[in-house]
Amino acid sequence: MNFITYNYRKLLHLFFILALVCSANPARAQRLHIIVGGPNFRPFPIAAPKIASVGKSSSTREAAELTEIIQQDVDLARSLELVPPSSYLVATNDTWQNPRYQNWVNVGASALIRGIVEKVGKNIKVSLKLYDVISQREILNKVYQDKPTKTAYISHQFIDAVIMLLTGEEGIYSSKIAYIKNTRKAKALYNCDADGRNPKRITDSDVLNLLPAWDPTGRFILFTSYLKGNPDLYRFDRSNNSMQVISSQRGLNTGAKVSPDGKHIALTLSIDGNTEIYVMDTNGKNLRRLTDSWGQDVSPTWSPDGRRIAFVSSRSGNPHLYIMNADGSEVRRLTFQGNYNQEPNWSPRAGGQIVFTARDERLKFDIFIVHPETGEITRLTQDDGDNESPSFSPDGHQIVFISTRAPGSSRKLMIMDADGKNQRRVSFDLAEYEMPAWGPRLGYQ
Amino acid sequence: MAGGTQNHGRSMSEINVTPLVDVMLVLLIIFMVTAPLIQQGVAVDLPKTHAPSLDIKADRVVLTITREQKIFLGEVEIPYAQLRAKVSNNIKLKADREIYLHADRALPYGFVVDVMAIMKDAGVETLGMVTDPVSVVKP
Repeated sequence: MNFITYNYRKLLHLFFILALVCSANPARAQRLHIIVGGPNFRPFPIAAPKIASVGKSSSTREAAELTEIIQQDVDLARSLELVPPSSYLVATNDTWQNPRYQNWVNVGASALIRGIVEKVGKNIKVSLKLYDVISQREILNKVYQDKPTKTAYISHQFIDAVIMLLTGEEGIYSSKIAYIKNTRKAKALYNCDADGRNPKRITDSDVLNLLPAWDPTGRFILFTSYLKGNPDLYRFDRSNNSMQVISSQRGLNTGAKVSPDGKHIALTLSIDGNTEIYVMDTNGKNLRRLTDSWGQDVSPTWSPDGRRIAFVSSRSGNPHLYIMNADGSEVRRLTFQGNYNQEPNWSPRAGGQIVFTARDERLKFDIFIVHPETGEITRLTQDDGDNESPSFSPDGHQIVFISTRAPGSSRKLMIMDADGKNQRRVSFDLAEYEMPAWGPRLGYQ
Repeated sequence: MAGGTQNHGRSMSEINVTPLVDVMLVLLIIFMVTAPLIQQGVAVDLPKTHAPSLDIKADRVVLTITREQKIFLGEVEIPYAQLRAKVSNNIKLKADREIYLHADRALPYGFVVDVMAIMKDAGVETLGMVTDPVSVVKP
């Protein structure tokens, strides 16, 4: 016992010295960076109690909205974890300026978000703070003034600032997701915020639209439309809400993806009857054919460095994933398991993996991820309806996809972490959703 | 898939463990800790012991019960009726699995055990009983 006590003291002494060394280094003392997705990664637990409404004219509705959206944004973010609000121990002397830190430590929080909202003329003024409850100090202080309808954008901006402070990486809340939504008469192109809010219809015609894809700047959304009867490739310009034909070859003009440098489009055409993969400049000129096989070659997706393209081919009988150089050379088969692999989407992170949909032996669709060099496959969804059409978030930490899991078994928009954890629904209306494409960061609007 | 129907028609052969789980305190590890290191708010008249005790860990949650049967988590009073709901989602209790019980010596045994059972359900496996050292014998 004495021996143990002695060693324990020595250890304590060592820790004390370490603590001194660490606090002598200002950069180290300032904050603890968490490496998202690292081997010891655990989401950062944050408490987000009710935002208070202050001032004479009432802003209780905005305060309630902000509370809800901030809690959802913390919950959805890959690097953060929402400490369950039902567990909060709020003392009567716990105020916006002066949190009782121990009560937040006691519910497992490492940080605390506090905020007040007040009416200023026709606008709302929202003050939000982030406190480190371990070192007991304020580490972020932001004030936003905007229209009362902009509560989501205020929350998105603040949570992205929190993520930047804690991880050194940009968040996802300035990005949008494009998708196809089944209306009564058409399949229309829409986009929404990264959390499913603010859905906006883009195409107003009552025709079939499919397979949206963003260009890296976020200005354009490419998609295929039957507007003129043939599946032609169109480009929607978000800067002036105009639509432009990019490719209208005979047959299919589908599955277009813009290269990471924004200069080229890879797409599937069926000019001579068989579907093959082509590449062209973004204005539709300089068309070059990349594949030449008797099978179907479809669904190209660019590697993050733009030097390679993964695609689906049935040249070996069943649809499987293949990889080639961006000029069509050095084609190699990537997947050997399964007999129906499709819809590849390459992570935007350097060295990132390729997520895809596979049909298993029970004819159920599920989402898998494959390493582009080793070919090692990991399953991300299982026993939960059909899961399809995965697309990576701009930071590569999360994946948006379509699932038919309950309730109602209709196709809903879902988001999960890139390792398959935290699968959650982000579309809540009754409509059917298809083919989501997670776009780049666009700024808050 | 092989054996798709393997779970059908099989009789229940396991022992029903539910009544055993009810006797949950059997699984609760209890030890004693000294009081002077408790810094958090509420004053209670602690039991006095001569038994050897351990030093307290400063970062653990302290559960205080006063002579009037008022319950405090840290410095915040939680009505008995809300206690279970309040602690059932507490991620710190689930992670630490340890709590310090800082309760008045005059409290009914039944009430204390009741509160301990609620803590056990919230994920607590180790309970430190805070006592007033009369003369602490160091191990």
